[in-house]
Parts: sequence; C-alpha cells; structure tokens
Amino acid sequence: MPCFIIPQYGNIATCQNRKAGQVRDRGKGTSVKLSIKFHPLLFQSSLAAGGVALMAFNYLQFSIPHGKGLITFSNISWSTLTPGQIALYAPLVAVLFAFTVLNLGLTAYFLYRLVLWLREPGAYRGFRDNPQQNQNAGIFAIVASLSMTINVVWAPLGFFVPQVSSNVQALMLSSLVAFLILFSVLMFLQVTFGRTWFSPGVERRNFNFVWLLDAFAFGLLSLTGSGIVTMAGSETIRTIAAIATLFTLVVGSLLLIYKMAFLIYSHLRAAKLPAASILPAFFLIVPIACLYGLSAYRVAEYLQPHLASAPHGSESLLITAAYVLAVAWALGAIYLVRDYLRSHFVKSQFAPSQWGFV
Amino acid sequence: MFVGSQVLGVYVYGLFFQYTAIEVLNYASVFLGAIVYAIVLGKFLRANRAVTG
Repeated sequence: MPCFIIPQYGNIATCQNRKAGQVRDRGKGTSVKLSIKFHPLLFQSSLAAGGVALMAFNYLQFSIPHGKGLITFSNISWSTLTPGQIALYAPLVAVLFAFTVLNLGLTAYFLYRLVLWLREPGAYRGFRDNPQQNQNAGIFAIVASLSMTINVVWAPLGFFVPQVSSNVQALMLSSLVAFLILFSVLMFLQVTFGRTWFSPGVERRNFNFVWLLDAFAFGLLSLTGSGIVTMAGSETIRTIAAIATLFTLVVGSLLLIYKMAFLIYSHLRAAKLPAASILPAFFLIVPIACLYGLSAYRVAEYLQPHLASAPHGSESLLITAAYVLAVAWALGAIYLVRDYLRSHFVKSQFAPSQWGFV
Repeated sequence: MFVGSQVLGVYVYGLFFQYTAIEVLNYASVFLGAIVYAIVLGKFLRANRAVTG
C-alpha cells in the first residue's frame, strides 16, 4: 500500500487503510482529497505556508515607504511606481496572497482533522506514549502552527483585508487570549511529553533534531507574544504579554541549549548522519535562532525604559547575533547534507521534515 | 539556504544595515521559500494520491 514516511517513526511509513474504516474526509458533493492519515506533523505545512507569507510581507513592510504601522495593499500607490518597481513588488504580493490563503485554509482543515483524531479512541494516548526516537515530538507542530497563524492574521491577512488592518487594536485582546491559551497548552504538552522522553527504557541517543520542535514552538509563541508587546495600545495587555513572552523565551532558550548540546554530542558520537528523511531537521535551528533573536529584540525594546542598567544598543546586538548564528548554521547544515540536497531531495518520497527547509 | 533567516533578515536590513546585498538576498529568499514549498507540496500531494489510489 502506498505510504508516506514519518521519519520520527524510524522510516516506518504511515498508511491510510481505507478498508479499516478510519476517518474519511468526504463532504456532500465535493470530496476532500487529502486521504493521508492524520499526524500532528502535518501542521508543518500550514506553518511553512505562514512563514513564506510573513517573508513576503516583511519585505514589503521594510521596502515600501508607508504610514505608521503595518503596510496594507492600499498603501502601495501602484500608479506612481515605475515598471521596474511593479515587476519587483507584484510577484511578492502574489506570493503573499497565495501563501496567506494556504496558511489559513490548511490551518482550518488540519484543525478539523485534529478534532477527529482526538476523538479517535486511544489515538492521542498511543501517540504520546511512543517516545522512542522522539516520535511524539511532532505534537508541538500544532502549537507552532497556530502561533504562526495569529501572526498571519495580523499582518498578511490585514494587508489584503482593510477591516482587519484598521482594527488591529481591537484584535489585541483576543490575540492575548489566544496567546495565553496556546501558552497553557504548550506548558501542558511540555510537561506531559517531556516526562515520556526521560522515562526508563527510552534510548535518548537515538533522538534527532526533530526533538527541537518544542523549542521551535516556544520560539513561535514568543514571536506572537512579542508581537502583542510591540503592537498593543493597552499598557495592561503589553505588560501581560511581555511577562509571558519573557517566560517563554527563558524556558525555550534553556530547552534549546540543553537539547542542542545533547544532540550535537550524540550525533558526533554516532559519527554518522541520521537517515536521509530526517536530515532536513538539521535546518530547524535556523528559524529557531531567528525567532528567539527577534522576540528578544522586541521584548528588550519594551523593557529598556524600565531597566536603567540595560546597555545601549543591546537590541541590535541581539538581532545581529541571532542572524549571524542562523546564517552560519544554515551554511553548516547545507555542507553536512549536501549529498542529500544534490541527489535525494527532489527525487525522494514526501517526508514531513522536508517542510523544515521552508 | 537563507530562507529561514529571511524574516529576521529584513529586520537586519531595515533597521541596521541597509546593504543592497542583504536586500537582494532577502528578496531571492522569498521566492526560494515559495519554490521549496511547492516542491514539498507536490511530493505531499503525490503521496496523498498514492494513498487514495
């Protein structure tokens, strides 16, 4: 039976058994075509789409002069742009639109699949209680993706929908509530799943870089929290978000430092690269470094007036250091997996870790 | 390769170092990200089609 590879399952393919009466996604008249069995790692597709949408948005935000706040479609006076500028910006707007739709559509779809999955007897428990090769770390992709979607609603969606961009302040309270819910869920998952990784009989030396998905989720949650700190007009909302973000940054950084040290040590000891389908996970450090750098920058900017001893220019140092680390790690990872990129990536079967490249 | 660092890259460009090289790198990385996404999405849909039969 045709399958797709879940690398965290040690390359054991996951298949949908149609005859077993598992969840089917068929509506009336139109059938939903995605038949692959649900796995939390599938949320990486919406996460990656949100990442691409944010890339395009940020480029427009910093390249095109506009009023205060986030750039919107109506801020771009197309009639005054030169043909060269139109050729430069129009494809970006097209990418922004396509990936915003993808992020929101996939998020809605996978949330629906998640609900069905949680209702399947034993599905969640069976997933949670399978920590070998950090197979259950994929659960954190859900929190990461939903955090990303909050950012997509603020910026890329607001770019196209004036009702959103003109009401960003009205969205801040609901954003804070969503952020705090995700914060609670992430803490719960961290404790619950963290316990399984350190239970007796688990071979931690077989863990791989997908194990960093929780640190990634902390990074994306920090991005959301720091976004509220930057944008909210209410001082109360900013303070609550700043405290919670500081907490996610500290916990996430500790997790990241411990896990990175452990994984680098265990990979060096193994003296060989992991299975091909897991190799893209090496790149996870890149967005993590960026997320922590950017979030720390935003929180430091908020806290600086309150901290008399904070060194001047420390924010720029934070952001530059994170950027340098991200680029250096990306180059190192490319060198490590160069054979995979050259001869395997395009021809290989789908593996969820491949979203990690994006 | 710089795709993941692009979101931060524009901050570096916009706030601190307005070098054309960083601007070009950031611009290219948006499309590189979109292309890599399309490749992975294509694989995903092929795998899904295979499951569907």
